[in-house]
Amino acid sequence: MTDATTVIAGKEGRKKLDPKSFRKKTPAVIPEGSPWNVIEEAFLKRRSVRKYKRKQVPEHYIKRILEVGRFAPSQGNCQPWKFLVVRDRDMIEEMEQFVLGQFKALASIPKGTDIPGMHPVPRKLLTESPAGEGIRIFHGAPTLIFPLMDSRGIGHPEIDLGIVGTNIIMAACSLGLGTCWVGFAESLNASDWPQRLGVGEPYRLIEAITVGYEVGNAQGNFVHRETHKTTWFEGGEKRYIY
Amino acid sequence: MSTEAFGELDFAPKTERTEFGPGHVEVDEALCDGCILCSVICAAGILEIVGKGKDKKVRKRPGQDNCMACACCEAICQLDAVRVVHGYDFGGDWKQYDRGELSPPRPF
Repeated sequence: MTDATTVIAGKEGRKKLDPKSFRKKTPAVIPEGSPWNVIEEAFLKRRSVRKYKRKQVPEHYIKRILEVGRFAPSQGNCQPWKFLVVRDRDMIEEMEQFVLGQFKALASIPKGTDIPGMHPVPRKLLTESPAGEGIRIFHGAPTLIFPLMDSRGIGHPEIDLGIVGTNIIMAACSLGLGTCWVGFAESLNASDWPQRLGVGEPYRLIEAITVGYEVGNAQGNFVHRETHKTTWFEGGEKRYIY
Repeated sequence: MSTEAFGELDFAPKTERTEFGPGHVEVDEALCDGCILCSVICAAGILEIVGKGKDKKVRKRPGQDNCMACACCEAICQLDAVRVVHGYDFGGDWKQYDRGELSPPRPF
């Protein structure tokens, strides 16, 4: 016998549902050309923020964001992640200086040299942009989230890490925060930073996500993006759409 | 740094043009009111402010080609004075195909 006020142990946050309403209703038909809904609009307007205010993000915001993150889908539900949060300004600055130091070491390579196997974008950043001038690694963000990858994950744990990161950035976006993925954070592995942060096997530091309040409001407008070619098979025919 | 792609590059389609093609932004000076926001947030630092007082305008810094077409300048401009006109174009082995034209979100 349970009545409506009974709180089931461990399920306090769960709303008591009327068994009739629990049955899934068919979603309403959305006519062609309808305006974007809230979630679509959030995804369309979200930009990578590379300029932050100094103001720190409240602690509970970050906890909320991580909470959304841990409900991300993963291959075989293996959840191959662990989070690391750095909110210490001095530590972030020290990490930044280390990565910039790595850049300086590469500055001796002549401008425009093709480094085999290296993508043109990091190559250009590393060899052509003067280190310390203009380039910011963590963009002055007050909080860093490192989603650490458990290398024992099923299949490709890197993909699961991308999905958890998408949850994180969109949750942050909904709270009015700006985020940016920082792949250069990987070069921290060439130092004693993994040790200092307590990152060891099987966990790997491969990406960082900066979180903070953005300068201006770049996430309030739509922008132009490339319309990638899509191949479409239907009714025995193949066509391309853009 | 995609060193794992080293072997795969032999099979990737190639192009004659080997140099790096950065993104391009265009500024409509008639609309720009020199609010400097776009130049402040530009991560590549390719936008600069010229002129003084009411004649302040933003322009693309000559000789700078680090633009990655992130379109933050376009998004932050309330007057629609800045627009990204084309995206990245990586040359050589990295040339990307079938990218299509630039377009704002199209509700279908």
